[in-house]
Amino acid sequence: MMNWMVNELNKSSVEITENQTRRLQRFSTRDLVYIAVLSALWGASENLLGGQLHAMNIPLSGAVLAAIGVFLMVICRSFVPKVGSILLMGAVVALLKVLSIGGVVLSPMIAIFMEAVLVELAMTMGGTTLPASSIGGMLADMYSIVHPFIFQPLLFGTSMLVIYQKTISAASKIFGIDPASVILIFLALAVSQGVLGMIGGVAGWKFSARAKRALRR
Amino acid sequence: MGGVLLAVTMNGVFLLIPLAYAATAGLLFSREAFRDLKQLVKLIPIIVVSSTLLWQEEYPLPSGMPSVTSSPFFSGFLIGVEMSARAVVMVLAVSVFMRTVRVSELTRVLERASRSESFPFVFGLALNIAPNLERIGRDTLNAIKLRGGFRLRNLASSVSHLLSSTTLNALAKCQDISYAAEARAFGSGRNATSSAHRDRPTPSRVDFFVLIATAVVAVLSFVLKA
Repeated sequence: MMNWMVNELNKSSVEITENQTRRLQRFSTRDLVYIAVLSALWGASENLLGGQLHAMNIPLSGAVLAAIGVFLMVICRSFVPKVGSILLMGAVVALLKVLSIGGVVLSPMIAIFMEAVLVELAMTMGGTTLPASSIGGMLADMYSIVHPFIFQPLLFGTSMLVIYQKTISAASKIFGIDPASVILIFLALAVSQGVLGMIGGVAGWKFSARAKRALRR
Repeated sequence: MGGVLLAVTMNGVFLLIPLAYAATAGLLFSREAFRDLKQLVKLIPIIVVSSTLLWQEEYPLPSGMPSVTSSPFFSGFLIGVEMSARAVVMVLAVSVFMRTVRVSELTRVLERASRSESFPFVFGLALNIAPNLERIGRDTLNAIKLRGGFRLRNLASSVSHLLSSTTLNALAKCQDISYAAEARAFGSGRNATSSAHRDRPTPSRVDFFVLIATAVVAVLSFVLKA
Protein backbone atom coordinates (compact mmCIF):
# COMPACT_ATOMS: atom_id res chain seq x y z
CA MET A 1 0.00 0.00 0.00
CA MET A 2 2.74 2.45 0.94
CA ASN A 3 4.74 1.46 -2.15
CA TRP A 4 1.71 2.00 -4.35
CA MET A 5 1.15 5.48 -2.87
CA VAL A 6 4.79 6.38 -3.35
CA ASN A 7 4.62 5.15 -6.96
CA GLU A 8 1.47 7.16 -7.65
CA LEU A 9 3.01 10.31 -6.15
CA ASN A 10 6.16 9.84 -8.21
CA LYS A 11 4.10 9.28 -11.37
CA SER A 12 2.05 12.43 -10.79
CA SER A 13 5.14 14.57 -10.15
CA VAL A 14 6.72 13.24 -13.37
CA GLU A 15 3.48 14.00 -15.23
CA ILE A 16 3.39 17.52 -13.83
CA THR A 17 7.00 18.11 -14.92
CA GLU A 18 6.29 16.71 -18.39
CA ASN A 19 3.15 18.83 -18.72
CA GLN A 20 5.02 21.91 -17.63
CA THR A 21 7.77 21.17 -20.12
CA ARG A 22 5.18 20.66 -22.85
CA ARG A 23 3.49 23.94 -21.95
CA LEU A 24 6.82 25.79 -21.92
CA GLN A 25 7.75 24.47 -25.37
CA ARG A 26 4.29 24.98 -26.81
CA PHE A 27 3.91 28.09 -28.89
CA SER A 28 1.65 30.84 -27.60
CA THR A 29 -0.64 32.74 -29.94
CA ARG A 30 1.82 35.62 -30.13
CA ASP A 31 4.67 33.20 -30.97
CA LEU A 32 2.64 31.76 -33.83
CA VAL A 33 1.81 35.22 -35.11
CA TYR A 34 5.52 36.18 -35.13
CA ILE A 35 6.37 32.98 -37.01
CA ALA A 36 3.57 33.54 -39.53
CA VAL A 37 4.41 37.21 -40.15
CA LEU A 38 8.15 36.54 -40.54
CA SER A 39 7.40 33.62 -42.88
CA ALA A 40 5.21 35.85 -45.02
CA LEU A 41 7.96 38.48 -45.01
CA TRP A 42 10.52 35.90 -46.18
CA GLY A 43 8.27 34.90 -49.05
CA ALA A 44 7.56 38.53 -49.95
CA SER A 45 11.25 39.49 -49.83
CA GLU A 46 12.13 36.60 -52.18
CA ASN A 47 9.57 37.86 -54.70
CA LEU A 48 10.53 41.54 -54.34
CA LEU A 49 14.29 41.45 -53.99
CA GLY A 50 14.72 38.40 -56.20
CA GLY A 51 13.27 40.24 -59.15
CA GLN A 52 15.18 43.45 -58.35
CA LEU A 53 18.57 41.73 -57.97
CA HIS A 54 18.11 39.67 -61.13
CA ALA A 55 17.14 42.82 -63.03
CA MET A 56 20.38 44.46 -61.84
CA ASN A 57 22.39 41.32 -62.87
CA ILE A 58 23.92 41.00 -59.44
CA PRO A 59 26.15 37.89 -59.19
CA LEU A 60 25.42 35.42 -56.39
CA SER A 61 21.93 36.91 -55.99
CA GLY A 62 20.75 33.49 -54.77
CA ALA A 63 23.25 33.69 -51.93
CA VAL A 64 22.04 37.21 -51.06
CA LEU A 65 18.44 35.96 -50.89
CA ALA A 66 19.54 33.05 -48.70
CA ALA A 67 21.31 35.54 -46.40
CA ILE A 68 18.06 37.55 -46.15
CA GLY A 69 16.30 34.32 -45.21
CA VAL A 70 18.91 33.75 -42.49
CA PHE A 71 18.38 37.34 -41.25
CA LEU A 72 14.65 36.67 -40.82
CA MET A 73 15.15 33.22 -39.30
CA VAL A 74 17.48 34.62 -36.63
CA ILE A 75 14.92 37.36 -35.84
CA CYS A 76 12.25 34.65 -35.56
CA ARG A 77 14.35 32.67 -33.08
CA SER A 78 15.12 35.81 -31.11
CA PHE A 79 11.43 36.70 -30.76
CA VAL A 80 10.31 33.06 -30.34
CA PRO A 81 13.18 31.40 -28.44
CA LYS A 82 11.64 27.90 -28.56
CA VAL A 83 12.83 24.74 -30.28
CA GLY A 84 11.08 24.24 -33.60
CA SER A 85 10.22 27.87 -34.33
CA ILE A 86 12.60 28.08 -37.29
CA LEU A 87 11.56 24.64 -38.60
CA LEU A 88 7.93 25.73 -38.55
CA MET A 89 8.88 28.92 -40.36
CA GLY A 90 10.79 26.92 -43.01
CA ALA A 91 7.88 24.55 -43.57
CA VAL A 92 5.43 27.44 -43.99
CA VAL A 93 7.71 29.30 -46.41
CA ALA A 94 8.32 26.14 -48.47
CA LEU A 95 4.57 25.63 -48.79
CA LEU A 96 4.01 29.34 -49.57
CA LYS A 97 6.56 28.98 -52.38
CA VAL A 98 4.34 26.41 -54.08
CA LEU A 99 1.39 28.79 -54.05
CA SER A 100 3.37 31.90 -55.03
CA ILE A 101 5.09 30.29 -58.01
CA GLY A 102 1.82 28.69 -59.08
CA GLY A 103 3.36 25.29 -59.56
CA VAL A 104 5.34 22.62 -57.75
CA VAL A 105 9.04 23.46 -58.06
CA LEU A 106 10.83 20.97 -55.84
CA SER A 107 14.31 22.47 -55.74
CA PRO A 108 13.57 25.81 -53.97
CA MET A 109 11.13 24.09 -51.60
CA ILE A 110 13.73 21.60 -50.45
CA ALA A 111 16.47 24.26 -50.32
CA ILE A 112 14.37 26.56 -48.11
CA PHE A 113 13.49 23.74 -45.73
CA MET A 114 17.09 22.50 -45.51
CA GLU A 115 18.32 26.03 -44.74
CA ALA A 116 15.75 26.21 -41.93
CA VAL A 117 16.91 22.82 -40.61
CA LEU A 118 20.54 23.98 -40.51
CA VAL A 119 19.78 27.26 -38.71
CA GLU A 120 17.45 25.43 -36.29
CA LEU A 121 20.17 22.88 -35.49
CA ALA A 122 22.79 25.58 -34.95
CA MET A 123 20.57 27.70 -32.71
CA THR A 124 19.20 24.74 -30.75
CA MET A 125 22.69 23.44 -30.01
CA GLY A 126 24.28 26.86 -29.54
CA GLY A 127 21.35 28.68 -27.99
CA THR A 128 19.93 32.03 -29.11
CA THR A 129 23.39 33.62 -29.20
CA LEU A 130 25.45 35.64 -31.66
CA PRO A 131 27.96 32.83 -32.44
CA ALA A 132 25.14 30.34 -33.06
CA SER A 133 23.37 32.85 -35.35
CA SER A 134 26.52 33.41 -37.41
CA ILE A 135 27.36 29.68 -37.63
CA GLY A 136 23.77 28.83 -38.57
CA GLY A 137 23.79 31.56 -41.19
CA MET A 138 27.10 30.35 -42.59
CA LEU A 139 25.87 26.75 -42.86
CA ALA A 140 22.56 27.78 -44.45
CA ASP A 141 24.23 29.92 -47.12
CA MET A 142 26.91 27.32 -47.85
CA TYR A 143 24.14 24.75 -48.30
CA SER A 144 22.86 26.67 -51.31
CA ILE A 145 26.03 25.80 -53.25
CA VAL A 146 25.91 22.17 -52.17
CA HIS A 147 22.17 21.87 -52.84
CA PRO A 148 22.37 20.96 -56.58
CA PHE A 149 24.78 18.12 -55.72
CA ILE A 150 22.25 16.73 -53.23
CA PHE A 151 19.02 17.49 -55.06
CA GLN A 152 20.00 16.36 -58.55
CA PRO A 153 21.22 12.88 -57.50
CA LEU A 154 17.92 12.53 -55.58
CA LEU A 155 16.00 13.45 -58.72
CA PHE A 156 18.11 11.84 -61.44
CA GLY A 157 19.70 8.99 -59.49
CA THR A 158 23.21 8.24 -58.24
CA SER A 159 24.45 8.03 -61.86
CA MET A 160 24.42 11.84 -61.63
CA LEU A 161 27.46 11.71 -59.33
CA VAL A 162 29.31 9.71 -61.98
CA ILE A 163 28.35 12.34 -64.58
CA TYR A 164 29.70 15.11 -62.29
CA GLN A 165 32.99 13.27 -61.81
CA LYS A 166 33.38 12.62 -65.54
CA THR A 167 32.48 16.26 -66.33
CA ILE A 168 35.18 17.54 -63.96
CA SER A 169 37.73 15.12 -65.47
CA ALA A 170 36.79 16.08 -69.03
CA ALA A 171 36.82 19.82 -68.28
CA SER A 172 40.23 19.57 -66.59
CA LYS A 173 41.63 17.73 -69.66
CA ILE A 174 40.11 20.23 -72.12
CA PHE A 175 41.22 23.36 -70.23
CA GLY A 176 44.43 21.87 -68.90
CA ILE A 177 43.63 22.47 -65.23
CA ASP A 178 44.06 20.16 -62.29
CA PRO A 179 40.76 18.54 -61.13
CA ALA A 180 41.72 19.59 -57.60
CA SER A 181 41.54 23.23 -58.80
CA VAL A 182 37.89 22.77 -59.74
CA ILE A 183 37.18 21.56 -56.24
CA LEU A 184 39.12 24.55 -54.88
CA ILE A 185 36.94 26.88 -56.95
CA PHE A 186 33.80 25.32 -55.47
CA LEU A 187 35.28 25.64 -51.99
CA ALA A 188 36.08 29.30 -52.61
CA LEU A 189 32.49 29.89 -53.75
CA ALA A 190 31.19 28.05 -50.69
CA VAL A 191 33.35 30.15 -48.36
CA SER A 192 32.23 33.41 -49.97
CA GLN A 193 28.59 32.37 -49.62
CA GLY A 194 29.28 31.32 -46.03
CA VAL A 195 30.56 34.82 -45.30
CA LEU A 196 27.32 36.29 -46.69
CA GLY A 197 25.36 33.92 -44.46
CA MET A 198 27.37 34.98 -41.40
CA ILE A 199 26.65 38.62 -42.21
CA GLY A 200 22.94 37.76 -42.43
CA GLY A 201 23.07 35.97 -39.07
CA VAL A 202 24.93 38.78 -37.29
CA ALA A 203 22.66 41.43 -38.85
CA GLY A 204 19.59 39.49 -37.73
CA TRP A 205 20.92 39.18 -34.19
CA LYS A 206 21.72 42.88 -33.91
CA PHE A 207 18.48 43.96 -35.59
CA SER A 208 16.33 41.83 -33.28
CA ALA A 209 17.91 43.45 -30.20
CA ARG A 210 17.20 46.93 -31.60
CA ALA A 211 13.70 45.94 -32.73
CA LYS A 212 12.82 44.66 -29.25
CA ARG A 213 13.94 48.00 -27.77
CA ALA A 214 12.02 49.98 -30.39
CA LEU A 215 8.82 47.96 -29.97
CA ARG A 216 8.90 48.26 -26.20
CA ARG A 217 8.66 52.05 -26.50
CA MET B 1 4.17 8.70 -53.03
CA GLY B 2 4.00 5.24 -54.58
CA GLY B 3 5.31 6.81 -57.77
CA VAL B 4 8.28 8.33 -55.92
CA LEU B 5 9.06 4.99 -54.24
CA LEU B 6 8.95 3.16 -57.56
CA ALA B 7 11.13 5.82 -59.23
CA VAL B 8 13.77 5.33 -56.54
CA THR B 9 13.72 1.52 -56.58
CA MET B 10 13.21 0.77 -60.28
CA ASN B 11 15.89 1.15 -62.89
CA GLY B 12 16.41 0.48 -66.56
CA VAL B 13 13.43 -0.67 -68.59
CA PHE B 14 11.37 -1.15 -65.42
CA LEU B 15 11.20 2.64 -65.01
CA LEU B 16 8.58 2.58 -67.75
CA ILE B 17 6.09 1.12 -65.22
CA PRO B 18 6.19 4.06 -62.75
CA LEU B 19 6.39 6.45 -65.71
CA ALA B 20 3.17 5.03 -67.18
CA TYR B 21 1.58 5.03 -63.71
CA ALA B 22 2.49 8.67 -63.00
CA ALA B 23 1.40 9.79 -66.49
CA THR B 24 -1.96 7.98 -66.11
CA ALA B 25 -2.50 9.53 -62.69
CA GLY B 26 -1.71 12.96 -64.15
CA LEU B 27 -4.11 12.47 -67.06
CA LEU B 28 -6.90 11.23 -64.82
CA PHE B 29 -6.62 13.59 -61.85
CA SER B 30 -4.61 16.69 -62.71
CA ARG B 31 -3.51 17.61 -66.21
CA GLU B 32 -2.00 20.85 -64.88
CA ALA B 33 0.67 18.72 -63.19
CA PHE B 34 2.30 18.24 -66.61
CA ARG B 35 3.05 21.99 -66.61
CA ASP B 36 5.40 21.45 -63.64
CA LEU B 37 7.65 19.41 -65.93
CA LYS B 38 8.82 22.80 -67.29
CA GLN B 39 11.39 22.87 -64.48
CA LEU B 40 13.15 19.94 -66.20
CA VAL B 41 13.10 21.41 -69.71
CA LYS B 42 16.62 22.88 -69.39
CA LEU B 43 18.09 20.07 -67.28
CA ILE B 44 17.06 17.04 -69.34
CA PRO B 45 18.90 17.95 -72.58
CA ILE B 46 22.03 18.75 -70.55
CA ILE B 47 21.82 15.40 -68.73
CA VAL B 48 21.21 13.40 -71.93
CA VAL B 49 23.98 15.14 -73.91
CA SER B 50 26.57 14.93 -71.10
CA SER B 51 25.82 11.28 -70.36
CA THR B 52 25.94 10.45 -74.10
CA LEU B 53 29.35 12.05 -74.44
CA LEU B 54 30.88 11.03 -71.10
CA TRP B 55 29.41 7.65 -70.14
CA GLN B 56 31.84 4.94 -71.15
CA GLU B 57 30.46 1.87 -69.37
CA GLU B 58 28.04 -0.69 -70.81
CA TYR B 59 24.34 -0.12 -70.19
CA PRO B 60 22.87 -3.09 -68.25
CA LEU B 61 19.98 -4.35 -70.38
CA PRO B 62 17.60 -7.18 -69.33
CA SER B 63 18.61 -10.68 -70.49
CA GLY B 64 17.52 -11.52 -74.01
CA MET B 65 18.19 -8.04 -75.39
CA PRO B 66 21.24 -7.38 -77.63
CA SER B 67 24.29 -5.83 -75.99
CA VAL B 68 25.15 -2.20 -76.77
CA THR B 69 28.89 -2.29 -76.03
CA SER B 70 29.66 -1.67 -79.72
CA SER B 71 28.38 1.89 -79.29
CA PRO B 72 29.48 3.69 -76.11
CA PHE B 73 27.47 6.76 -77.09
CA PHE B 74 24.28 4.70 -77.29
CA SER B 75 24.76 3.25 -73.79
CA GLY B 76 25.42 6.78 -72.49
CA PHE B 77 22.28 7.99 -74.26
CA LEU B 78 20.25 5.21 -72.61
CA ILE B 79 21.62 6.18 -69.19
CA GLY B 80 20.62 9.79 -69.85
CA VAL B 81 17.12 8.73 -70.87
CA GLU B 82 16.81 6.54 -67.75
CA MET B 83 17.89 9.41 -65.47
CA SER B 84 15.48 11.79 -67.18
CA ALA B 85 12.61 9.30 -66.93
CA ARG B 86 13.27 8.93 -63.21
CA ALA B 87 13.21 12.73 -62.74
CA VAL B 88 9.97 13.00 -64.76
CA VAL B 89 8.31 10.33 -62.61
CA MET B 90 9.33 12.03 -59.37
CA VAL B 91 8.28 15.52 -60.44
CA LEU B 92 4.99 14.28 -61.90
CA ALA B 93 4.17 12.15 -58.85
CA VAL B 94 4.82 15.02 -56.42
CA SER B 95 2.97 17.53 -58.63
CA VAL B 96 -0.12 15.33 -58.94
CA PHE B 97 -0.09 14.82 -55.18
CA MET B 98 0.26 18.53 -54.37
CA ARG B 99 -2.36 19.57 -56.91
CA THR B 100 -4.98 16.99 -55.93
CA VAL B 101 -4.66 17.20 -52.15
CA ARG B 102 -6.46 20.18 -50.65
CA VAL B 103 -4.37 22.73 -48.74
CA SER B 104 -6.43 22.04 -45.58
CA GLU B 105 -5.65 18.31 -45.79
CA LEU B 106 -1.99 19.02 -46.51
CA THR B 107 -1.70 21.28 -43.47
CA ARG B 108 -3.39 18.59 -41.38
CA VAL B 109 -0.77 16.04 -42.52
CA LEU B 110 2.02 18.47 -41.69
CA GLU B 111 0.35 19.19 -38.37
CA ARG B 112 0.42 15.51 -37.47
CA ALA B 113 3.98 15.07 -38.75
CA SER B 114 5.25 18.09 -36.81
CA ARG B 115 3.08 17.30 -33.73
CA SER B 116 2.15 20.96 -33.71
CA GLU B 117 -1.55 21.80 -33.59
CA SER B 118 -0.91 25.27 -34.89
CA PHE B 119 0.43 24.71 -38.40
CA PRO B 120 -2.88 25.51 -40.14
CA PHE B 121 -3.16 28.80 -38.21
CA VAL B 122 0.41 29.84 -39.01
CA PHE B 123 0.10 28.89 -42.68
CA GLY B 124 -3.30 30.53 -43.06
CA LEU B 125 -2.14 33.75 -41.43
CA ALA B 126 1.06 33.84 -43.51
CA LEU B 127 -0.92 33.25 -46.70
CA ASN B 128 -3.34 36.06 -45.87
CA ILE B 129 -0.78 38.61 -44.75
CA ALA B 130 1.82 37.97 -47.49
CA PRO B 131 0.18 40.19 -50.16
CA ASN B 132 -0.12 43.03 -47.62
CA LEU B 133 3.55 42.78 -46.66
CA GLU B 134 4.58 42.53 -50.29
CA ARG B 135 2.64 45.71 -51.07
CA ILE B 136 4.29 47.55 -48.17
CA GLY B 137 7.68 46.28 -49.30
CA ARG B 138 7.05 47.33 -52.90
CA ASP B 139 6.03 50.86 -51.79
CA THR B 140 9.18 51.11 -49.66
CA LEU B 141 11.32 49.81 -52.53
CA ASN B 142 9.86 52.40 -54.92
CA ALA B 143 10.36 55.16 -52.34
CA ILE B 144 14.03 54.18 -51.91
CA LYS B 145 14.50 54.02 -55.69
CA LEU B 146 13.00 57.52 -56.05
CA ARG B 147 15.57 58.78 -53.54
CA GLY B 148 18.39 57.35 -55.70
CA GLY B 149 18.64 54.00 -54.02
CA PHE B 150 19.18 50.54 -55.53
CA ARG B 151 22.10 51.62 -57.68
CA LEU B 152 25.25 49.54 -57.69
CA ARG B 153 27.12 52.03 -55.48
CA ASN B 154 24.50 51.98 -52.69
CA LEU B 155 22.95 48.52 -53.10
CA ALA B 156 23.94 47.21 -49.65
CA SER B 157 22.53 50.22 -47.78
CA SER B 158 19.36 50.18 -49.91
CA VAL B 159 18.73 46.51 -49.14
CA SER B 160 19.37 47.09 -45.42
CA HIS B 161 16.98 50.09 -45.36
CA LEU B 162 14.29 48.12 -47.16
CA LEU B 163 14.64 45.10 -44.89
CA SER B 164 14.83 47.02 -41.62
CA SER B 165 11.79 49.22 -42.31
CA THR B 166 9.55 46.42 -43.64
CA THR B 167 10.62 44.01 -40.88
CA LEU B 168 10.04 46.55 -38.10
CA ASN B 169 6.69 47.44 -39.66
CA ALA B 170 5.72 43.75 -39.80
CA LEU B 171 6.85 43.06 -36.21
CA ALA B 172 4.87 46.04 -34.95
CA LYS B 173 1.68 44.52 -36.43
CA CYS B 174 2.19 41.21 -34.59
CA GLN B 175 0.86 42.49 -31.27
CA ASP B 176 -2.43 43.64 -32.82
CA ILE B 177 -2.79 40.44 -34.84
CA SER B 178 -2.30 38.26 -31.76
CA TYR B 179 -4.91 40.29 -29.82
CA ALA B 180 -7.32 39.90 -32.75
CA ALA B 181 -6.67 36.14 -32.87
CA GLU B 182 -7.28 35.76 -29.14
CA ALA B 183 -10.43 37.88 -29.40
CA ARG B 184 -11.65 35.32 -31.95
CA ALA B 185 -11.01 32.59 -29.33
CA PHE B 186 -7.92 31.18 -31.00
CA GLY B 187 -5.78 29.74 -28.21
CA SER B 188 -8.49 28.70 -25.76
CA GLY B 189 -9.92 26.27 -28.32
CA ARG B 190 -6.55 24.62 -28.78
CA ASN B 191 -6.49 23.54 -25.13
CA ALA B 192 -9.91 21.93 -25.26
CA THR B 193 -9.83 20.15 -28.56
CA SER B 194 -7.15 18.17 -30.28
CA SER B 195 -6.78 17.65 -34.00
CA ALA B 196 -8.42 14.24 -33.62
CA HIS B 197 -11.69 15.89 -32.65
CA ARG B 198 -11.80 18.28 -35.54
CA ASP B 199 -13.41 17.22 -38.80
CA ARG B 200 -11.40 14.40 -40.31
CA PRO B 201 -11.00 13.87 -44.04
CA THR B 202 -13.26 11.10 -45.28
CA PRO B 203 -11.62 8.86 -47.88
CA SER B 204 -13.65 8.55 -51.06
CA ARG B 205 -13.95 5.68 -53.55
CA VAL B 206 -11.36 7.36 -55.76
CA ASP B 207 -8.87 7.37 -52.84
CA PHE B 208 -9.36 3.61 -52.31
CA PHE B 209 -9.04 2.99 -56.05
CA VAL B 210 -5.75 4.94 -56.18
CA LEU B 211 -4.45 3.08 -53.11
CA ILE B 212 -5.27 -0.32 -54.62
CA ALA B 213 -3.86 0.68 -58.03
CA THR B 214 -0.63 1.89 -56.39
CA ALA B 215 -0.26 -1.36 -54.46
CA VAL B 216 -0.90 -3.44 -57.61
CA VAL B 217 1.60 -1.44 -59.69
CA ALA B 218 4.23 -1.66 -56.92
CA VAL B 219 3.84 -5.42 -56.51
CA LEU B 220 3.88 -5.95 -60.28
CA SER B 221 7.04 -3.86 -60.64
CA PHE B 222 8.94 -5.71 -57.92
CA VAL B 223 7.80 -9.11 -59.23
CA LEU B 224 8.85 -8.28 -62.78
CA LYS B 225 12.18 -6.90 -61.58
CA ALA B 226 12.83 -10.02 -59.50
